Amino acid sequence: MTGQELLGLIMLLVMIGVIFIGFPISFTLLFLGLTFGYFSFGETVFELAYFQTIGMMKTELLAAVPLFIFMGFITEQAGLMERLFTAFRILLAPVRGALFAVVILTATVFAMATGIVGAAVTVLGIMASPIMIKTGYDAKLSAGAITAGGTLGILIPPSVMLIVMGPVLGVPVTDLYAAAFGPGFLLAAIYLIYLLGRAFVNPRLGPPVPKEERVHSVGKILFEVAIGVVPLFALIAATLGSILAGIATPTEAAAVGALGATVLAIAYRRLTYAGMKQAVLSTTATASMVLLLAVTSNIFGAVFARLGTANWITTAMLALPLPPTVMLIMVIVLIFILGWPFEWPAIVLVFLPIFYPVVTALKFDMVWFGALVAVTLQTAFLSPPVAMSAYYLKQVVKEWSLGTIYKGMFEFMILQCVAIGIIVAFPQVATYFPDRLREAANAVRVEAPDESETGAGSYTTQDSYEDELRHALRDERTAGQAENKGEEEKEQGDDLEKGDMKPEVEKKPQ
Amino acid sequence: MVQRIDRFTDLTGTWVAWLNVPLVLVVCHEVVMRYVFDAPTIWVFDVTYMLYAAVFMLGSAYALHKGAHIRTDFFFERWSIRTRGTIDSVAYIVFFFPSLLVFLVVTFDQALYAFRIHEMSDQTPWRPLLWPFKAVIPLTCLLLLIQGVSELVKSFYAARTGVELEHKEKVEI
Repeated sequence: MTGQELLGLIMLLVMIGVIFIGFPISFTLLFLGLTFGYFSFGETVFELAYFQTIGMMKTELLAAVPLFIFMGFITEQAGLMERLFTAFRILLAPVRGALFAVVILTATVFAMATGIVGAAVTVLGIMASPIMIKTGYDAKLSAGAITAGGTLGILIPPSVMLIVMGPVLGVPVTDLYAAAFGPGFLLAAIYLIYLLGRAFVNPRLGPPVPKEERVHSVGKILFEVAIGVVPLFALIAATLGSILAGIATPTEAAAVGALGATVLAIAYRRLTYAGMKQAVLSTTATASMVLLLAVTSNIFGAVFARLGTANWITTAMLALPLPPTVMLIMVIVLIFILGWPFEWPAIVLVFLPIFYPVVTALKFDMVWFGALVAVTLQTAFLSPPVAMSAYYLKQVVKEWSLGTIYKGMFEFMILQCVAIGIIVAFPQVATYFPDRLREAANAVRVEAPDESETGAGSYTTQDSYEDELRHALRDERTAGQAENKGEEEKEQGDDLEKGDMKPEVEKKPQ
Repeated sequence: MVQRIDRFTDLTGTWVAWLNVPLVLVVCHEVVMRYVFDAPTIWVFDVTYMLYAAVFMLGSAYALHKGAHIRTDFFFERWSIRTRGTIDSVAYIVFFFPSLLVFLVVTFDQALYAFRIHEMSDQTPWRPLLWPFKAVIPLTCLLLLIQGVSELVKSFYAARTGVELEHKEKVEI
């Protein structure tokens, strides 16, 4: 271990210690990056910091972050969630535990229209909890259903977390999106089975909607569904469909989604100047927080990488006499533990780059790993005592004590762990969909005249274990640079994908 | 003084926030041009990243004002207002101001240089002038420093009296 590597290790430990104190992480990282950098390689650090900043500012892919957040806020303003909720409630009224199912389904669909968690838990809390309390639903299960369902927003595309994670792991965001669908729907299904099962065994936990409150006219039901559900589904299909089909980049799809949501809001007569202003302001605050942290953590990461400590950590961890799977489980458990005190932006941007070389060297499928991390972080949203979603819910539902909410969330945390286990045991849950998409793209590529290699599939295949190991251990292959490389690769991947996909679109008629 | 700074940041933050709307429209314009008319533009790519960068960089002062920049509140939440104020005051003086001042000087030089030599982007054939884009970084530092003064006064007040001048809600993520 050289002096510089030691300095880097000290830098890492100081960082973890200092950010626990509670000053905004972005500025702490900037300060530590500049100070330690100045100590070790003088004024070069300022240029390094400057180029990292400009580099982040030029990453067009990340423009999807504000756009998807904006889309989520507008969708919320348009009252689409309320409509969705009403429509599902009318449809499912006779079922035992109807409201549980309504909450989960509404949350799942809404998760496909928004990239963050806050809105979903808040809105579900406001809408569902009064009815649940009135009709005598079990408080613990209700709180658990709302918080667990609401947190799906961070996992199911268009999750902002996955956009930020793509460049960090050096995989196309499209692949991550495709990979997150399986686990997302798996979780929704597990929640549903659990809740309906409990309600079926003991109807007192969640009675069906009383007969007199049900809507009996089929016309009215169809009308609610047509007006409340169909437009939103169309918007989601257009946005996510175009990304997954490789027709549009995430940025383009996000912009179209944002515009579509605005049009829907106008159509429902819910768009006001004040509402619009609130939406752009909230978008700016949230996007700025995530992206400024991306900038400063990149500066920190670049200094850290130059000191060479990342390689040292990788070598040290690989020297441990453990099989790869155990190492992977260790990394996941570590991320879960970090998820307690830290919010996801800190984990994805600050800590994930540190684990990245280790996981690369272990030759795991990065897309699968990304999906696994996403589910783990979503679980962290549900883990007492510092779970964000409990905080959101408590703000809007005064009747439930924090203790009740925590107990409810705990039951769902167990379900989450079951889901993580399933994804580890059967990676197909996550990889099936992206693999099919990639195969489709490859099939077209073979037919296409140009034989350009690379594209979506090239990151994960062919390289032998030793090769990857050497890659990971080579001097320049350090965390910060790997990150940059990932971004470049991503951009290239995007371009190539666009180029490669076109033939498919044109060929379909044949 | 504090109120004046806060109002200034609110105002500039609102201007910046409205940039989200042209961002949506510009990208949608490109989508329509490319997929409907099959005539992609040469300027949208540059404008997109420039708008996006302007939104999140210049918006960071507004985010600071609203308390959006995440903290690790594992311990922070349990401490008294006085302790929190002390921590913030020290951190603003030791971490925040020095690093942003230095960064301001460094990036201002870069932007000035880009302005002097009429540096143009080499990312696309459109080749826009780069100095306004590069000027975003020192401007961000400046806005953050201005808002930082207000935050420092507020946290200093909290440390002295144990009363919060304003309560910041957690941002939705």
